[in-house]
Amino acid sequence: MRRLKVHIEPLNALIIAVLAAVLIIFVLLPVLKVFSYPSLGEYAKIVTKSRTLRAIKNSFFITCLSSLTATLLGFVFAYAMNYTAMPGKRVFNTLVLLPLLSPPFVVALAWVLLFGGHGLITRQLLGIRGSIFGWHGLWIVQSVAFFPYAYLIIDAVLRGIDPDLEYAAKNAGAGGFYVFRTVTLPLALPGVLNALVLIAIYVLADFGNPILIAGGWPVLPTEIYGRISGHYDLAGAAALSSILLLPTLVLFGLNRFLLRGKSFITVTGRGGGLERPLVGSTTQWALFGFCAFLSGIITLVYGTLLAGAFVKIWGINWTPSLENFGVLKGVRGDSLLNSLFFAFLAGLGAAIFSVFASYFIYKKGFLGKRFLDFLSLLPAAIPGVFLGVGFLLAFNAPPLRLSGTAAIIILALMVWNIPLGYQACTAGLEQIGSEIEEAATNLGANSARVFKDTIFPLLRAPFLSGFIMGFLRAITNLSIVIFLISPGKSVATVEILDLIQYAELGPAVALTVILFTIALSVVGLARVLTRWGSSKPTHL
Amino acid sequence: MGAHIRLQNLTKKFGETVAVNDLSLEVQKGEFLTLLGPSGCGKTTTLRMIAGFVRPDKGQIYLGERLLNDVPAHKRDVAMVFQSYALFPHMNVFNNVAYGLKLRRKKREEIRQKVQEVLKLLNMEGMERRYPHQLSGGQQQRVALARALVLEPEALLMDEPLSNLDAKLRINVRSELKELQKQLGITTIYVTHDQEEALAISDKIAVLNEGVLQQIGGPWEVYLNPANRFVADFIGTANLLKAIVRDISEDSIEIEMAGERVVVERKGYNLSLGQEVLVNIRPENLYLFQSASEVSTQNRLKGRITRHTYMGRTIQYWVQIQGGQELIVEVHAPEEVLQGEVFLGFESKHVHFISTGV
Repeated sequence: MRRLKVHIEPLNALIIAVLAAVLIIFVLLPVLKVFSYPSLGEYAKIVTKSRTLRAIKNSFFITCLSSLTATLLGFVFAYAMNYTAMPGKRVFNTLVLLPLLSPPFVVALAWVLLFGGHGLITRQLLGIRGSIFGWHGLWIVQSVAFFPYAYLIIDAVLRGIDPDLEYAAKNAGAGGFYVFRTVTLPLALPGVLNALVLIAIYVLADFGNPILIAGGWPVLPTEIYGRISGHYDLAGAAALSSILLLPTLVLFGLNRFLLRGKSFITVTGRGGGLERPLVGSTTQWALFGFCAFLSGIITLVYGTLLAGAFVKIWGINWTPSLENFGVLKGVRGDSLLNSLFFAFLAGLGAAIFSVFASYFIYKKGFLGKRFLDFLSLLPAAIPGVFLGVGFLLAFNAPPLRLSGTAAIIILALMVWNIPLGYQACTAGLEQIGSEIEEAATNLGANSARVFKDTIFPLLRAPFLSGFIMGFLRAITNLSIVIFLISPGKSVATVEILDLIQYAELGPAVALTVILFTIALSVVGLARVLTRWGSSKPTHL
Repeated sequence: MGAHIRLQNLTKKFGETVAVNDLSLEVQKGEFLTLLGPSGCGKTTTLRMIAGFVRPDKGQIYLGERLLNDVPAHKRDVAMVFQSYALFPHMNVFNNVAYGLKLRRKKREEIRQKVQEVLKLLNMEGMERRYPHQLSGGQQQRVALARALVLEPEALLMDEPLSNLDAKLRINVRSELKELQKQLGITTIYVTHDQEEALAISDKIAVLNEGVLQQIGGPWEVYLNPANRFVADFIGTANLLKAIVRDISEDSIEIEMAGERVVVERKGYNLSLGQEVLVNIRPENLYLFQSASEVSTQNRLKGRITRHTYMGRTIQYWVQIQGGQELIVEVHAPEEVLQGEVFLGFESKHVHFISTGV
């Protein structure tokens, strides 16, 4: 009788080798390159600069402040959505998910239009000259931009709490707030902390918002960009990137640790399946007001952008006009096509890679599996700016000279999206269980056939969601691509930033609106095509 | 003395589905009442309405003289044991049990003493510092019960508390539970879909189907005198046969079924000649004989064995009678397997009329 999995089939070995090569060249190599590029002297020089120290301090400060605020907003929002019967839940849910489909700087852009030099509120309504940039603005903008992510994570956490636990507390005599304090909150806490850590990773790596509005108030990601665009100081940028990666890795480790402790929530088995106890009507209306306020801000953001796209010159000439869309002609218009093309390939590549990796790395045990598994997840812990710098350093010389090509952008965006698809596919495989695979093997299929006949069809859903999410993240990315574009190979997000820096707000907003419309239509199309409607995008 | 718990015309709809339909029943003080029915029959909804987790659309819930409808869940003083136990996973056994006592602002020493007492009662001493995930299913179940009992509530509500235990443990725990309830004299409403469990544990059983009360009565009553076809079928195994009333005398009724005349005890049945009726004979009340001369019972039917299932303690036979219907016959302590043509014998007292009119 043939024994299973004793020998590795040749085709398997080939696939594993290809996967391993991709991960080592495009994940490990750029990371090592960034660390090793600066000499010790250069590290010492950059670290002791007062501007660097200020950037580190600022990054630490704003990360704590914004991620705490965003998580708090997200928690209250999620609580309101789960524990009230308030009207407008669907509208609220749709509105706060919009930022997830937008470039990372839309909130900052709206902030500029409302409070900037020609800001509608500052200049027109209040008559204040000059602008209110700096950390206050960044704090507000990041809180608004990132609370939807916190909401998504915490919403899933709250849904995971067995309503019977809350009913049991009520049954024992606990009033509404006591139930919240002694049952709901302690049970949600590990998940909420996990959300806080993830949001902190996002905020720490945030490049789009600070580059637009933080002005002279440096944070690490903008400082790294400044080193390269201002001084072409690659060593300095690499040293700063290394400094940025360290706290991110710590947070990432913390996140893994918190997730491990989560298991105790589900210990008591299946829930009652009934609706959870709702809050009293006073609390409900207070929460309704809160959600309406946040949704109002989001509406204001998108309303401002739309208005900005369709007036002649913001702040000066309010005549409705389509002039701004003239930006589509010429080079900046071409960048939009590049964006679409690159994002499509990056999303598709990441999804295909994930399906193969989840089966041949995660599922099949072999030497080095843990290491490759780690490499597949690592990009999730890498700030976009770091990855951009890493690709720039790793692939600008032979044997693999990619700088100046479209390939370097596509590969970087693909690598950045691998963890997402990989996690979705491994979760899918966990659900499938190994019996189906064993059944196919038992009936005489070799590994390749098992993969083709059972695994791939069953992973269609995670494949599609990985593809779509990868596409959306790639088309809205700024922090990676900004280091990798070259003449003729630019993308829309970079052009938008460029326009803003030349104070051409109208065309910038017009381009943003078009980019957002494309993202929205892709999601809409995908929902129609795959009847994806019921499941929310949870892996963003 | 009035009823301890009284439900009056209780109705609850979820969207278009009527979960509970015009349900009225009473539970006496110290009584153990079971709500029995298939899943979706409204038994859990009824329990949750009593606990205050679900608001009835219509009807009243009384605890003693007190109308509970507008009393919030946390002020009702009816303790619930949940199907999933709903133990707080972030609290140890002591804090789980003490949770309600702390809310009642008892002194520390009193709380400690009460928790210890109830844990002792349930043989769970020394487990105070354990967390729910460190306990076996049976132990978790005891903690859930302790958490409810420690409050000395007016009434105890239990939602399928034994369904997550394995079969053997379930039978042990249910007799313990019954003992404990009798000892404490606490009015109890218990929900289950397991008819055997209901028969074993209850003073009274209320059978529900599709939100409607089918019958309420003692275990003997619902088993031996099911009010309708549903109850007969749901509790135990039923052999339901159509028959026509042929003769009525002072203490017996003669009916015709499967081409034979059968004599039935009169009891209180009020029937008329020529009426079509439905009768039930339980499998354990049917006996098999290999020839007509062996038959020692008052009645007999001819039949043919079609298949059987051996179950150790018993054998179940499927016997086809005239007209094609199959009856299930249970033979205890079997020593051989019968085959082919047989006679089914049964006593007059074991034939029960289910409903008049078929």
